[in-house]
Amino acid sequence: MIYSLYIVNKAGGLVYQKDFTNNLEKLSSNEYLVLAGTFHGVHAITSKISPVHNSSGVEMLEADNFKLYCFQTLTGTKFLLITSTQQNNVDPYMKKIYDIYSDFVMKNPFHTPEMPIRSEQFDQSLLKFIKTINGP
Amino acid sequence: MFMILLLIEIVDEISNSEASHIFQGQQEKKIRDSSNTSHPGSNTTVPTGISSSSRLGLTTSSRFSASSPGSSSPDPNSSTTNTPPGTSSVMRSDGQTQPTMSGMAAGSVISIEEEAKLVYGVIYSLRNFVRKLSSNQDEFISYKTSTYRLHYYETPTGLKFVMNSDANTESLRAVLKQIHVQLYVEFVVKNGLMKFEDTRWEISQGFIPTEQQQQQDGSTNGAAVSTTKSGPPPPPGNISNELFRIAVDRFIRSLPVFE
Repeated sequence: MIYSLYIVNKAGGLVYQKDFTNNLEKLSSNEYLVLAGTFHGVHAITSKISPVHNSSGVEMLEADNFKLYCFQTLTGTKFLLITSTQQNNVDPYMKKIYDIYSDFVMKNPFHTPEMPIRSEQFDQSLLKFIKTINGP
Repeated sequence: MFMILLLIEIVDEISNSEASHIFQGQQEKKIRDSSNTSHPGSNTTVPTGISSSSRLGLTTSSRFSASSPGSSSPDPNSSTTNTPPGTSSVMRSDGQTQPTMSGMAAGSVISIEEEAKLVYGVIYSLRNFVRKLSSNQDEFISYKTSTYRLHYYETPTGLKFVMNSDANTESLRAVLKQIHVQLYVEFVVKNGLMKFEDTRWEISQGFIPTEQQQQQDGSTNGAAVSTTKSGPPPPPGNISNELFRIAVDRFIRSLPVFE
């Protein structure tokens, strides 16, 4: 069960945010921006404080009521997926979301890179995909 | 190859907003390393790189320097020498700044004090992040990267327990809770001679003399603090309680996940 998706650009700014269920709190858009920036910073630090050399940043964060998965692309864009606690493997979902992103956002000639995503088609196909996971 | 790396830091939130770590013990063991005899009272640094070095268990003055290029000098806390820590320097820009280096954190080029501050910052931010997202009832349990996993447990009093392990360990939150209840409460809280007012690192190192210092260290052994530095400097942080250290060491080594 996927609760929400956040896309963070390589500077740490929030580019896209969508809730798919009502399980999580509804926050103001300012608070979402702050959360994205915070996570961007924490992600960078966690690779520094690693007890072992060459660690990536946070890939999975576990809390009581949800799990947060982070996928960082080679270009520095982060996809944060907040799911239920039972969700163990989100790699196929991440890949599919990345596919949808590259199709409807990256290949859009009118989209400015690193800017907030305003694409109806992206929203629609994303919703369609999430519906197949979450169920109706 | 299955490597477990454990770093325990207990951070007291009350003292200041930076990480004034009270206790720090570090154990690292490789599965193929057979030289695991521990010498009480001494601690040898292995000169090779991190990936092929092994650490001995806790000793009386348990601060381990990782074998990084900077710490080629003998371990600062060896009880046989009187030399002050090889790489320590005291930064006094304000009263709260902690000394920059007195031993290196394993696996990185930053000192343990720096690492402690960063870890505290990460913990604090993630805790608030989680609380924001799910309305104040949630607690952040752990996070995982490609190489390590950090487990976190916070007591109702605000004391934070942090442990690092390798990436595919399951959640060790119950272990941390056990450490708190069975070890910390028993050996530290119930110890009538432990003082908690000021847990700054400088005090435990003897840089700031306090009146009760000698009396406080009466309960410890091998960690004599004197302003003339005639003995080995005590381990960083203010839980210079040997029973606690030894008990924690033994407890962690007895865990099934520790190999």
